[in-house]
Amino acid sequence: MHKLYIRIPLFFILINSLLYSCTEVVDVDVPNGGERLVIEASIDWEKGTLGQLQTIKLSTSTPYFTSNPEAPVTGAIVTVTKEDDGMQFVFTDQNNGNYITTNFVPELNQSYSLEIIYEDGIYVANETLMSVSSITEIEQDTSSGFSEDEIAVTIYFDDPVGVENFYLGEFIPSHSPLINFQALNDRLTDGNQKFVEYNDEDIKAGDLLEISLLGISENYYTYMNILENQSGDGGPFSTTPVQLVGNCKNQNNLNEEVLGYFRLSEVDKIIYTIQ
Amino acid sequence: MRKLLLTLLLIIPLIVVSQEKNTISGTLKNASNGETLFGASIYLEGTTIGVTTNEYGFYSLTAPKGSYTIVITYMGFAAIEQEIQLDSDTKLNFELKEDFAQLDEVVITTGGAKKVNIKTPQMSVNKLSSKTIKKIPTVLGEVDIIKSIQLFPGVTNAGEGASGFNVRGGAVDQNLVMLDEAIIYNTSHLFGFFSVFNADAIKDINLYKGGIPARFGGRASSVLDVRQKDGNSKNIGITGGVGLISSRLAVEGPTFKDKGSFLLAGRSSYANIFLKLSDNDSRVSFYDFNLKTNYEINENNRLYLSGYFGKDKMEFSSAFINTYGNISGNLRWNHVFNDKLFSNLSLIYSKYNTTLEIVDNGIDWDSDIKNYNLKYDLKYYLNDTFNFDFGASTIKYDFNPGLLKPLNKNSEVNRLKLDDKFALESAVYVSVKHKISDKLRAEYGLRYSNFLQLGKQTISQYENNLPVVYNSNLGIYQSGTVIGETEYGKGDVIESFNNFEPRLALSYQLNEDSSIKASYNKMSQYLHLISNTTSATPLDIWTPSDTFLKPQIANQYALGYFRNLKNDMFSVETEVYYKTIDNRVDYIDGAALIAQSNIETQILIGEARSYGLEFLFRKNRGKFTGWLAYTLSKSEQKTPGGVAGGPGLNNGEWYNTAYDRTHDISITGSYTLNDKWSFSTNFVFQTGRPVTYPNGQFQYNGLSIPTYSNRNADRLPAYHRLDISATLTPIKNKNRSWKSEWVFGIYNLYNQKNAASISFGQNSDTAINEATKTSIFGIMPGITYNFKF
Repeated sequence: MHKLYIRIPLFFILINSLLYSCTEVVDVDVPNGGERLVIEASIDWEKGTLGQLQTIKLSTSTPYFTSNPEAPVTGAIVTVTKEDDGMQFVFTDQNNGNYITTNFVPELNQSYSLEIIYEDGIYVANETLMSVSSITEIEQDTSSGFSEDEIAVTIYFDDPVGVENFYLGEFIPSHSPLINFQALNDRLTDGNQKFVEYNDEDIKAGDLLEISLLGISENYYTYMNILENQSGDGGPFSTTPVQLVGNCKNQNNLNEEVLGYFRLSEVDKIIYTIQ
Repeated sequence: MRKLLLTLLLIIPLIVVSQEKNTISGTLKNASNGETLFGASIYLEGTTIGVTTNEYGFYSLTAPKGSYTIVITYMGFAAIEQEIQLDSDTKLNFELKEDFAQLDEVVITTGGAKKVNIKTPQMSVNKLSSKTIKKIPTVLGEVDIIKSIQLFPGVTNAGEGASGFNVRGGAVDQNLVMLDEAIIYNTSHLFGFFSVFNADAIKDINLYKGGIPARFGGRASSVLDVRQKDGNSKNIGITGGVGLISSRLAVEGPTFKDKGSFLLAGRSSYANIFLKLSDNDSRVSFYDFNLKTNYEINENNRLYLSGYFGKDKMEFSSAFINTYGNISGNLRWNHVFNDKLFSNLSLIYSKYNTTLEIVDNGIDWDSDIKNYNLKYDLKYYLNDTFNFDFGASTIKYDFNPGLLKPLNKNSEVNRLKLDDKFALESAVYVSVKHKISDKLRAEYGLRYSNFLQLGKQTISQYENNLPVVYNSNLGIYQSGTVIGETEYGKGDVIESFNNFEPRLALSYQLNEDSSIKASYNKMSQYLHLISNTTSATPLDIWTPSDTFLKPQIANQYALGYFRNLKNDMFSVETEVYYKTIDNRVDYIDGAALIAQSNIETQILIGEARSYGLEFLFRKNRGKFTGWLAYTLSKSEQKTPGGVAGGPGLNNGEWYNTAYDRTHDISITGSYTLNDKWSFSTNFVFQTGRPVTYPNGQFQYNGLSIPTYSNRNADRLPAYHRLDISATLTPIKNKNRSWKSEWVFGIYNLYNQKNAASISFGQNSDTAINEATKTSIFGIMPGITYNFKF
């Protein structure tokens, strides 16, 4: 949770929770905005690999409270084009919502375009493959955070000076179904050693933590930052949740709400075992 | 400005036609402690001649020669009736006795009930004396002015534990809150759990919700005028109290060889006031001090000095340390030129600052706002038909939007100083109280305000002059491209705004007991509180109007019917209002407001409107007193794309503000059983706060992500609670100087778990979506011991 932007709202949430508040799970009637296409086109190029195998997931949104949130979309035609040389990568339908290619060619700072033909729509997006610094250090600490016993794992990396950088830190723990991610920028920290921290009161020695650091674009940062704030706690110091607007548009209907994002990132990945 | 004043001073005497008329003037005080009384009514029985005392207890009225009965009434005090023979200009000072009505008597006679003044054109005002406020049950027994005013119609806030208050659908930053005329920028201790005003140091408060007189300006929605006590000028007195949250002590008494008096009050919370915090090294605390002293130079000149200093400190396991506080001082000089012309000159300073240390990130954050205010107000009691208020003021603001400092060498952040900002806000005004006929009275005035955004500052220039642009490919708003910078030197005028703000109030008396009133006011607000959270936080930054951020302009219309019933035993006040606000800011999705120099790149300019019906029914006398307040209202906002293009926020459609409450009912009652016991209660019912619920979910990045659409289209469940308190005054008090009382209270008696928020997320074990309700105050018993000697 080491991020100034999340820290400040977090600070207020803490005050709330420490002072008086009590929480309980309640039944709430929520509106239903209907089915919308979800494009999870995350091209991740792990450092030290060829990055040829890539998966794009298509699904539809579901009501907020449902017993079956999985709604895969099949029968779409999915292609990604590398814009400088026109090389096309066709992602084949696995009939389970996944579309796979095995011959992708990743190139840093290169622009790619996505095209998905599904039912009456042609969904398109453009994005650049963003590079990322390497993780320089990993540290496990027990005295950080608000409860003395809580284990905290921190990764460190160096932010390049003089350029705007945006990052996504991602922690996939083995002990919990919930992935933790944090979007970061270097607006106030340009050129410094930066860090991302994961802490959880339930994590214990022997648990695995898959840690990824991704380079992302400014627009994707904005998207993930809103997404991150809206999927957390909403106290009186939270901001009003808004519609998440991704970069995929239906050319035949520009007003259609399309969920998800087309992102391309270089990734530094570490699997860490809690000591 | 000065010319206008001089002209006024010269013209006014010319229209004096005062043959055969004489003037009575003087000061009204509380007999027991010498405190001057503001808003007391003085009239000549059997005539329509009458005035109310001003903020310093001064009055002046003019009548034809003759013999009269002069009647003086003030809420909570026994009325005075006195025969006078008016054949020359007369100086008459009065002292009113507090109304300790004997309760065992069958009939309780109270001359000065809290009846509504049906004659004066002033409407939309709620007054509270410190005495009334102290009777209202509160959280943990901590007397709270800001919570008390929310029991009146038209006043709400964003929820328990949220700071500030909202008047007639206006935002928190649209209230001009003044403590002895000094601007208070944050009214909350501990983020809104308690207010910064110590009731022991406060004489009275007046909340102007509409029909705002021309002498006030600078905020769009309301004026909360809080006046400190002057200090007991008759005897040394000590009051104090011990509660669960804090302890209080106030000392007051005569000074300067009985030429003046002083008051010194302090309040401090206990180091670890919250049980939940006691098992770790987190600390939450606040304290405040009030000072007031005055000195009578001679009959026509008096000096007042007031001060306030308050601070909050919150420390969490030495990971965060946050402090914030207001400080203010005011030196005033009352001068009575003659029996018709009263003046007051004020020199005021106030400052609000916040600091935040985030130890892990090595961040130290400081920001503040300071102002110096010079103000000159005059009242001219021309004759029975015309009274004038006029004056001028100028305020110099210094803004420090923030200094970000690395705490140590290993800090993640770089040092960053956001540009200081400077501004000068000046105004002149004149207001006329005009008795058009015996039944029709008017108060009309004009305020002219000017705001200068001053250097030294560097202003960014944007491509196409657009600090925010709509990216139509992505369908989002983004910061514009900076193409250059303009440097302004120290004192250079960067931007200038001028506004004429007309004010008008009318009252028409239907009969002895009822009247209708109407009012219109235009207000300009040149400061903006930059905050995109549901409730304002102490870290929010005040910023001046500039090229991109135009002043907020409010227009408000109100109409009301006022009636006293059963010989003033009951009173009814009904009002409708309609208010529009231009240039209301809202924030682009994902706005980065923290440590932001170029706020204009994060905002869109829209408008707000609110309308409502307010109803207030009071029982003014007897063993049982109290009121019922009901408000039916709407408060909404619209933020189109404007020059930035695109549809705007919420597709450019109207959306509810976070403080929109359709229904708001409060019942407040106080029952005096006997000399020993009295009881108070209040009940509150409100429509839930507007919120945005998810309208679906999607699987992304291994998580279930909620999707949202229409802003503030849903609502939290209705809010309601019942509070009670009992005050025990031991009988033995009667014959000794040490007087004490115990106040026992229960807040939220039936332990209603009111939702402060409902958040949506995945269960950390099952990953299934769930809605989690957070409630702040459950049942909260409290006990306070108060003493006085």
